[in-house]
Amino acid sequence: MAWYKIPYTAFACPPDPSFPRGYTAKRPFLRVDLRNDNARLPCYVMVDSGADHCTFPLSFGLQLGLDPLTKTASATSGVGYEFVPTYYWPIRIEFPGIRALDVYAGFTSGLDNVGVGLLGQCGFFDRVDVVFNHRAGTFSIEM
Amino acid sequence: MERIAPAVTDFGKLLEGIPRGAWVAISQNEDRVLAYAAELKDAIRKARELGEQNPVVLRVPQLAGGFLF
Repeated sequence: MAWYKIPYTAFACPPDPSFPRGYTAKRPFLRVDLRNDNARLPCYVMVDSGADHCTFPLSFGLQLGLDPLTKTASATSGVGYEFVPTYYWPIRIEFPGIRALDVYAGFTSGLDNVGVGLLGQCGFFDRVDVVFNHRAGTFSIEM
Repeated sequence: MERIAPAVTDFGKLLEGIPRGAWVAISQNEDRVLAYAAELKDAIRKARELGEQNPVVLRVPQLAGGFLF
């Protein structure tokens, strides 16, 4: 295994009443491929140690051929959301050219408005070492 | 030994002019927008019609404010 250093991705947040001059947010983004059998969906994820599980927009699951009508949802919560139904399936997360992780991942409409996935504790942080260096503008993962 | 991985694309430039709330399909080398639509499946379908079988997908958030997860 090797350590990979990745620059944070910068997002310009426009002025609003709390931040009249706006600000730039640095977010630890990665490009991954989600796999369910032969279905593949390249997308972006944010490394998020605050998420219990790896979780993705429900639209991603539908695109991978996963059918929520065959599942009973679990209730999850986040900022602004409570009791959001989340459906879990085993999928593969590929880090192109580096490694693949088989993960029991959640899919929820609560992330459809965000449009990216979250790499959380179960399935990612419990198998991959991560070091954040926000001041330097980089984070590192061992894979 | 630490390897330097490339940064994720500069979304600010790439997504300039794309309507908020749109699902976007990007080329595999992440340098251009192939298609966008209100539904993810439609953005992917349009990209496939242009020859990109597995575009990279994301959504332009309705609001450009902070993320709190």
